Amino acid sequence: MAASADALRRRLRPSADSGGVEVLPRPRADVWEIPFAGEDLFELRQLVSSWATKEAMGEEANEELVLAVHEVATNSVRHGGGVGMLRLWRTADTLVCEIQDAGYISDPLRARRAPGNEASASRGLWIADQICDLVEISSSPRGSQVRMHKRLAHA
Amino acid sequence: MGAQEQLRIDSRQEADRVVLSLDGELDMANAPLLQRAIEAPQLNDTKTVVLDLQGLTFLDSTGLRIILSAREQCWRRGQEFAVTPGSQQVQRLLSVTGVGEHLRTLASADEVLA
Repeated sequence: MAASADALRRRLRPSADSGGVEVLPRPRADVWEIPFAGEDLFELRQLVSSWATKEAMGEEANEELVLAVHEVATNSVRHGGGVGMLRLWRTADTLVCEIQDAGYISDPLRARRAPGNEASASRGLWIADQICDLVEISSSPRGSQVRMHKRLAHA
Repeated sequence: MGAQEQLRIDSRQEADRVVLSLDGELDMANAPLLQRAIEAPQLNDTKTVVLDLQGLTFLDSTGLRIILSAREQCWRRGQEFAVTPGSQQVQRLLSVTGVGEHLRTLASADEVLA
């Protein structure tokens, strides 16, 4: 387990230009990025959790951020071409995780509508929207960015 | 790391119920393990199926979907379906999604259904 998590961490790199797919403004912070695929989700959760712990995020907020990132990354694997890019940075009081993939979210407001209780309902984006302080979505047929903000401590 | 190492499912028969105990993390990668466990033939003749979530440390929306479809499958077989409370993360997911209040929840796997 430790070995594969380390293997994932070794792919972490400083973020450079992303080829013009981005629509959301580039953050003014040091950004780390890491490409992922379906087999990386377990290690991706560990990575986000240990980063949030290092940034002194509380346990509950940490778990929520991990779940939000996991749900959106799962969407990348399932609907967004099977792979995605996770970017991580912090601002003064907030941790930000962004996932970019090749998928097209034709109805971004879906994140704001509560799904039903039927087994088949899609809940990923809605869950992320519920447990983050802010979820920004930019999507076009060229790809999607989902940017999740989670404050380090609530004043 | 394989999906099997992240999730372990133990099945035990007790009188008129089968208890499936989940240990580890339930997500898209290993949800099929639970799907298979629910479809196992030894569950066909029991009166009640209990999913013991006490050892479950992570649950996502895919796992939740499998739990809900397991419940539907049990209902179609005329069986009772119940769960036990999982970790804080699991309980938070159930509460955020509103699914928790629609799941019959036992204090522990030993609790007798009324």
